[in-house]
Amino acid sequence: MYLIKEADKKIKVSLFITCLVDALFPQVGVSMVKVLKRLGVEVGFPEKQTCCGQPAFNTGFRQDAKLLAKRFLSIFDRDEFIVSPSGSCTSMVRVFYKELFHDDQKTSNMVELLSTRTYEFSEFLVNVLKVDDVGATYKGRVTYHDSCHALRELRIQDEPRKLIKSVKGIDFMEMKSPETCCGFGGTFSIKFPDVSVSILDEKIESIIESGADTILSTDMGCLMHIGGALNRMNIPVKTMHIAELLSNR
Amino acid sequence: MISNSREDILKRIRIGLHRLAIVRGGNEYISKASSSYKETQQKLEIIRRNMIEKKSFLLDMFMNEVTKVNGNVFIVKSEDEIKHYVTRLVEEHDAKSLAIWESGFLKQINLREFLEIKGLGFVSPYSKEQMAEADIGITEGDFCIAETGTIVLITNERQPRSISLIPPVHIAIVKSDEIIENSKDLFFLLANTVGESGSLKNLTSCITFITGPSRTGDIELSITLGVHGPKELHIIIYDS
Amino acid sequence: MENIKLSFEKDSAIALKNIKLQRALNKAIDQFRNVRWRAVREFQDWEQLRVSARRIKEWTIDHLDGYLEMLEANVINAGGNVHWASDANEACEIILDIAQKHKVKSVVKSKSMATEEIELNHSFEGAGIKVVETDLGEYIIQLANERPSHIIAPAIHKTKDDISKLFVEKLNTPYFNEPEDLTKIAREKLRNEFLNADMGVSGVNFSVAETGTIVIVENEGNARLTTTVPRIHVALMGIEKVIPRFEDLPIFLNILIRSATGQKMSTYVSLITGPKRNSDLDGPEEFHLVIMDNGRSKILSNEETRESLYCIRCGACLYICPVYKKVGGHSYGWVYQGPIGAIITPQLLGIDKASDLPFASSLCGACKDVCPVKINIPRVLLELRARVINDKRVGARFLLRIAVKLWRFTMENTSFYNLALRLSYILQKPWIRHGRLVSLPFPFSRWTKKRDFPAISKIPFRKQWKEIKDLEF
Repeated sequence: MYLIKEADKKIKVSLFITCLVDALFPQVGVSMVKVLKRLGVEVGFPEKQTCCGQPAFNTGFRQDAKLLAKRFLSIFDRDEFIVSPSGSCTSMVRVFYKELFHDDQKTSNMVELLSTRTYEFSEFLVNVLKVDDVGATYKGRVTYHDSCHALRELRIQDEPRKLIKSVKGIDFMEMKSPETCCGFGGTFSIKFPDVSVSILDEKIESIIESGADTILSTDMGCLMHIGGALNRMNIPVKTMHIAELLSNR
Repeated sequence: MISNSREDILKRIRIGLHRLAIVRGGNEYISKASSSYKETQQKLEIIRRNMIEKKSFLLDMFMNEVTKVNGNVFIVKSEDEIKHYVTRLVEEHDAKSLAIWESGFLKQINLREFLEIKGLGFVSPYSKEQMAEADIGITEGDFCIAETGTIVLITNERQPRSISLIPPVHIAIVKSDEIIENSKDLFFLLANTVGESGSLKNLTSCITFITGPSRTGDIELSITLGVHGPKELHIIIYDS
Repeated sequence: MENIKLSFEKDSAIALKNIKLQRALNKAIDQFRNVRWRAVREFQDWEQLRVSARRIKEWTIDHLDGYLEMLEANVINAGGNVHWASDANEACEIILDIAQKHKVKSVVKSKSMATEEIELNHSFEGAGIKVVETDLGEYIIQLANERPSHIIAPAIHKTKDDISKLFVEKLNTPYFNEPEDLTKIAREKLRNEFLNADMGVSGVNFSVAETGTIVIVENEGNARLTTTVPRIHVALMGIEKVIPRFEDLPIFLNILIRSATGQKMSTYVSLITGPKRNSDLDGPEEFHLVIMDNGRSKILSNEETRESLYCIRCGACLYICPVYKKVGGHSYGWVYQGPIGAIITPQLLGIDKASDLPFASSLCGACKDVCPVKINIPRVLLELRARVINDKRVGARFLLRIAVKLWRFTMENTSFYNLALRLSYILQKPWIRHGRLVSLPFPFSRWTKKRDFPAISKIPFRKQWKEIKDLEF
């Protein structure tokens, strides 16, 4: 188990909890707080935060997205690190805000500053805190699904795997094509439900084939989608956010 | 039909690029002045030297690649051996009618006369109907690319295109010192050697790259040879 | 073209139910992904190659007018003719005009997306001129009277049994079920077409400005026959196909061929400069190059989406796309399919004609990673989504607009947000089974039809935070 050295003790993190975790999966946020605190990080939660605006941005409502993005920028103005249990929401801030404000120099500059301090949870642990082993234990056969935004916008691929493999007692196996989309795509899953579900079916097959009893990811969007089908089909595979795994002792 | 489309299209492009007038800035990118005459010659020299010094390595690579794409390769050491292999292929296919390039090396070894004496008939690419009856087409290759197993055929008055295309069997006779390592070097060489005084000016009507026999995967992705072009490609490498 | 109104939703539903299509797509796509992956991996500097290709494309499109003029001059210098077509109608008229001047009765065609785009075959048929597709896949599609379903493999959706039956019906051949036999039949039938054709029509993979050369990449040899045997050769290209230098070709041949079919080099690459010379023994007597705009200059004029024009039509984004893998090419409704179709079709046809397409993606981004010229397709999709929403002809439905405004208003105000959480928690109760939502009313029913939805938590994180913020763990 790694503990941050005395000198580093001042590392401060603001949770960017995401509306999905706040409303539907609060236990993921709690797990994240546990893991960070155990590592000696000072954790804060700006209570005015709601949504980063990604749903509006992705559906073409840019004006609405801009309003929420600006609100986000004002809320997370001063903090040292912003850490989120979602590769997708982190991508919104780090990658797509630039897109959204490319014709607005002043806001662009704010985005630039903010985006250098914004991290997805697993990359924050591995790349900033330099921790692979957080002292977690887990009895089970797990596999990992790469969330598209974490993988292709943030290039997070090794980080979660390092963390998972360091968990004591864990049995990790890759599924076939872990990098293939689960078909969620935000509003895509409702706009074209049949296409979305048929992509999901293939993901479910890979998960079952892998023989894992737990499917892990960095994003609750994907896990909500995958879990929704697993539940419906009565398949005994658990969905679990990587923070939940890492908080388990 | 009077159309202003040319001017309209160019104008739309210019407006789209927020420019008032045409910028022929393209030329500076194109001009060979970017690399001096001396540099070009040096680079050509390196490519040519490679072709000689790495010959056996390139030969192996070339043969390996040709085989991978379902072509057949033979290495021969003498002109007689060339004739031997051609004769063998003619007999194997029971060929009656042939088409052949009237090009330098094939003339030099009198391949056509040799085959005529054996009683074989020749058709002219002037007539596509005649060409359609030919059993085998015989050509040279102007260059080969080792990395891909490709032969390069440059069309001219003695090197018509259809001989390597219409008959079901294509025999190409190439020389072992024509093999270039990769397509990048080949294009550099072509760019500085073909056309009027090696300047790409007035290129010939066609340069053809051939890599293996004609193939298709259009039916359930199963590879089938000889759909339109030759079903067989035989490359005889003359290594004197 | 004016009457087209595409519906991805309707067409994809049909595709999803077609079991044969699903099987064909699965098999084909898995195989394609593997060979492409190998071809790319074995090339040492693939990333560098992509960067070079991208730079050349950017440069060329930024100087497109100059390069097109240069191309024109060099084609004419080589004895060819150059025609300019503003739109599809004009392109068809030009080609038909050439055919009629020469009293052409029969035309052979090699595969070309551009001719599909302008529906050239209809024009020929309307004028009583016979036109035959000669690429095997396209030939099958033409016999079946369908549209191609893939840029590179047009008959990817057909099984050999389908094709055998088609040949029995249309060509009066016996039933052969082996690709080998079917290919042989096609060779014989098409040989006669080549020998009898007065005119060959081809597309253009690249054209080289500095030499006036057009480049055609293929495996079958039908493009070589099309451009060699008939006495007239007409090539149709979009304005974006030009590249500056002869020496740029190895870069583009490498990225195109490896991305398209996973080969190192295709069987045939033809570099054609003008018609046959007087002293040549074969080749076409006349060469015509038709340079077509058809909406491309409009794409160019918008910097946000200009990169759509860098596409070299390799089809790699189709193979990698999870959506394409499920719905196939026909669901995209027009000539260009998959992710690239989803960005090009709305721009060429008009955003109102294909307002579904920019949304037909989960934005997973696999396409941008695989694209050999690094087109950021998801970025362009997002830009087009914004255009759809702002377009008065389509726009968002009134209720959707209201819903988004209401949602945003809630999200802008923390106390409304808290209230909304509380209300949702209470309102969801009638739908909860075993702690999950299993059948919600429309529009959420589109989710719950096949997937459970998690229940809204009684105590959201923000409330739990208050309890845990001072705890040690």
